[in-house]
Amino acid sequence: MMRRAVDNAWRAAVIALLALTLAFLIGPLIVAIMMSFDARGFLAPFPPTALSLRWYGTFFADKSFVAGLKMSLALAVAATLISGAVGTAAALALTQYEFRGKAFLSGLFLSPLMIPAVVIGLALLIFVSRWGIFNGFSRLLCAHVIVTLPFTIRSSLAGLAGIRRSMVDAALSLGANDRQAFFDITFPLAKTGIIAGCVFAFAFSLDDVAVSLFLYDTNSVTLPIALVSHMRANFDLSVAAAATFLAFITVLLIVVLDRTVGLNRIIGQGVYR
Amino acid sequence: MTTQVLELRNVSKRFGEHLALDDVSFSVAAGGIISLLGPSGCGKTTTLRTIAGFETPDSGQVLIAGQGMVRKRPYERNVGLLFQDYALFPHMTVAQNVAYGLRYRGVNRADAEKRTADMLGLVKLTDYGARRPSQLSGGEQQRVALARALAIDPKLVLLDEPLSALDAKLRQKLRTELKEILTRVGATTIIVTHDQEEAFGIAERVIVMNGGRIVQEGSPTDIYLKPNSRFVADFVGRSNLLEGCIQRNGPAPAAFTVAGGLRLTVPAQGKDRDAAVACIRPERIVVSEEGAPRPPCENVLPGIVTDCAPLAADVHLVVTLQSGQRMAVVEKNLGQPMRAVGARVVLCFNANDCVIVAD
Amino acid sequence: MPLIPARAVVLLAPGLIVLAILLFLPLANIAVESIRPYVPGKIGGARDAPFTLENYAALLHPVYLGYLGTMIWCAFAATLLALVTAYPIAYVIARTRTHFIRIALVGLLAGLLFLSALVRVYSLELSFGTVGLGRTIARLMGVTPNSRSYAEFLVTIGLAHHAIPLSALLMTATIQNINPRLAEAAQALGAPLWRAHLSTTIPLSTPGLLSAFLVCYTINLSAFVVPMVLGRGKVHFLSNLVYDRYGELANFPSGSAIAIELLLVTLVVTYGFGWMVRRLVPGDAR
Repeated sequence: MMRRAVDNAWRAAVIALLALTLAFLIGPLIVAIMMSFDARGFLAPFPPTALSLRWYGTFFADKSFVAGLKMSLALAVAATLISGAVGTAAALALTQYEFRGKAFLSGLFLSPLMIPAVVIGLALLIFVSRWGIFNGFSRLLCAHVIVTLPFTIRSSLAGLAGIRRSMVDAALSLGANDRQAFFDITFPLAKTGIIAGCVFAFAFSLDDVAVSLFLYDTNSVTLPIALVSHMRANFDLSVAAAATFLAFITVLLIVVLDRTVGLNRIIGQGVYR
Repeated sequence: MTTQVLELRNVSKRFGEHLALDDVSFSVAAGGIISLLGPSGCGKTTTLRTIAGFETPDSGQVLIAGQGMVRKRPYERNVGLLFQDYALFPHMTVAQNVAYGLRYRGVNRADAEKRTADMLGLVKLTDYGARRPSQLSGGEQQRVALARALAIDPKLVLLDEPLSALDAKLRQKLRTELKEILTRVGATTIIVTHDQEEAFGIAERVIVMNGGRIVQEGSPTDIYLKPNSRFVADFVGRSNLLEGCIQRNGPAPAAFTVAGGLRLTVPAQGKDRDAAVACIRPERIVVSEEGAPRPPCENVLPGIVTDCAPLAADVHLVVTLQSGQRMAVVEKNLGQPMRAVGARVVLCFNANDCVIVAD
Repeated sequence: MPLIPARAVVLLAPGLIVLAILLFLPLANIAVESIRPYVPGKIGGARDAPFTLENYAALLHPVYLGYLGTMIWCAFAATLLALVTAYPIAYVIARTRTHFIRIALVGLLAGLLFLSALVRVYSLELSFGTVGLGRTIARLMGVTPNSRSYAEFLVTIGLAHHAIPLSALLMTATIQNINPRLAEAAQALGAPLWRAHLSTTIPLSTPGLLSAFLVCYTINLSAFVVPMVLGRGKVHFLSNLVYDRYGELANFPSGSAIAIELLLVTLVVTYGFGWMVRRLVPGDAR
């Protein structure tokens, strides 16, 4: 009897911790979303007394925000395409061929993850200035490609490596040559890994602040930078509207990820399920 | 001369320091079903992969239907493979899997569909065409893999541990089905396995391998009754193995001395005064109570029962002899009372129940 | 084995070129830049002046050491907090039989990870700032909402807010591979639930815990946005200092030196920690 009570108390405590943690994770977001619909014209204590879309109006009317959004989307698409292609090619080289030094190369490609974003930003800035690349979009693109590359490589590697060799061998024994086996078997099965990598790259590029802060200029401002400037100048609720909008895009990305790759597969099943 | 579908001549293969295949030679006639049997690491899988074209031998020749194959890639060899993990393509349906081999052989759509239907009928999965591999059980996946391998009408079918992933009951059922299908199609087959039941149950000829070499080749019965070495005697079936010394006196049954003062009468094999191993199969030994009437036999060994385990159809006994050796004995389980541990018994067997093998 | 097959080289080339040009050369560049003297008003250090260590020497000033210390401590506290609170979440995902709960939690965590850092930071500022719980919590802590201590608190929970979903997802994989029968066996032997987990599940998750700790700690050390916004100018991480050097003073040599320092701290933590883990955790548990 005593045992049961102790167990129940433990379970209750853990559940309470769980609930508190989830509340901490989601709570602030709910607050921000609700405040974005606040009818009051200034930043007043939560909760809002009346609801309105005025802050969304302000957000979409603000030229810097809209320009930032366009720039961010363009950058994200370009960076994802480039690092997706480059990363997948590298992953292919590392999985389809035998040679020494694969582990080293693999580590090399993942190294941008180990380097703080600010360091990359500053280093790139000094470098591109020295080499005379002054176009803001190009400079930002360089930065975003480097920063997203580890994601595309790692995801493509995981997708390609997960394909059992016996399947390719089976195709070969049935009469497909190496090229046919690749396009019939390897590529379709690797698709999910490649797509997942691109979705990660896209999200990461949209979100980037640290590296972009070093490389933007007045003509190429990304949305996060526009938001940061606005927050510093004037901490009002149009940022809440922008934030809610961005959160919405994130949810869309997650849905895309689930539909194409399946969230369950990203975590895997483990040995004991 | 070449009715041999497959011929391996002096094939050797080394992986770094490790000699995986050491001068392996054998051949398979059309329609024959043979098995490569051996423990892990014996080279049987390497042999299979060499025949299929996934490994290139360092020396020797591989001939399929008389043609040298060493330069040819797997897709040029017309060999059907059944992989241990089945290797079904998860992103294709069962029908697409089976038809895959026909894709690059210039078979038109209608013919391919008919062939697929025939193959699925052969493995008794006629209505399964639209399903995906992930929706199939282990036994069903294996049958689809077999259908896929046979669909291309290969010269040679290679099976890599086909039944190892299945549970015991299913294994028995599929073993008979597999044999029936292979015989019906008339496919020349090589089965690679470490499981004797698989090998003996399906193949008509067994090649036992160890350490990259072929150690014995013959029918299942021959290999079982006349092992040519201690390894084969020990690996195939259960054996009592007694090390000792041969004493021969002409063509008469020889004497065999074992440690502890044990003397056996054994068949006239081997040279006088050679060290050898006497191999006696447990089911050839007759057990009788001490003092009870027993059949006349050339070897009479008294001992004490140290274990008696009724295992379904057989009773497994361990009897410790006066000279110290422990002998395994198997009797049929016909409902007789179990022998008590500690009971004094007498083991009887004749000279030709023994086989003398070199160490 | 061939050196590298030609086709593989073709596939690897773009990646290697991108890395070389956009990462390694620039990094080498700032290493050099960090040992150049600073010339006020000039962009970049003096090119022909002799190399100097003055930029690094300046970092030994107590103020900067203080920043370094605060950064190391806040990042550490945030990581610890994140691991403790994320473990139950990871456990639920790993062990639940209800498909819906699993998908919902994984979706939530993935969504949080994907969410823009600015959105998270802004939401936290709103909720824990003066219009939110700021005044209440600060009073409980015995400080004012505008104080440095409260700013450190905000930065720490801000870092944790990002670290929790990440470590939960990382640890889910580890827990999934721990045999659930072990905890049951402990209970069958008489242990209460908490003791059963403490003796089986948790020690066996050590490799995953350490790995998650490492990943989150290095990410937290390199944090930029969180300390910038939530620190309200009172908390400076090394990454913020780098930006200040560039933004306010165009002092590239000093900024480069701080950047190198940050890089070294990150690398030392990663490899030093990894080395320690290899020494402490027996081989087959890894």
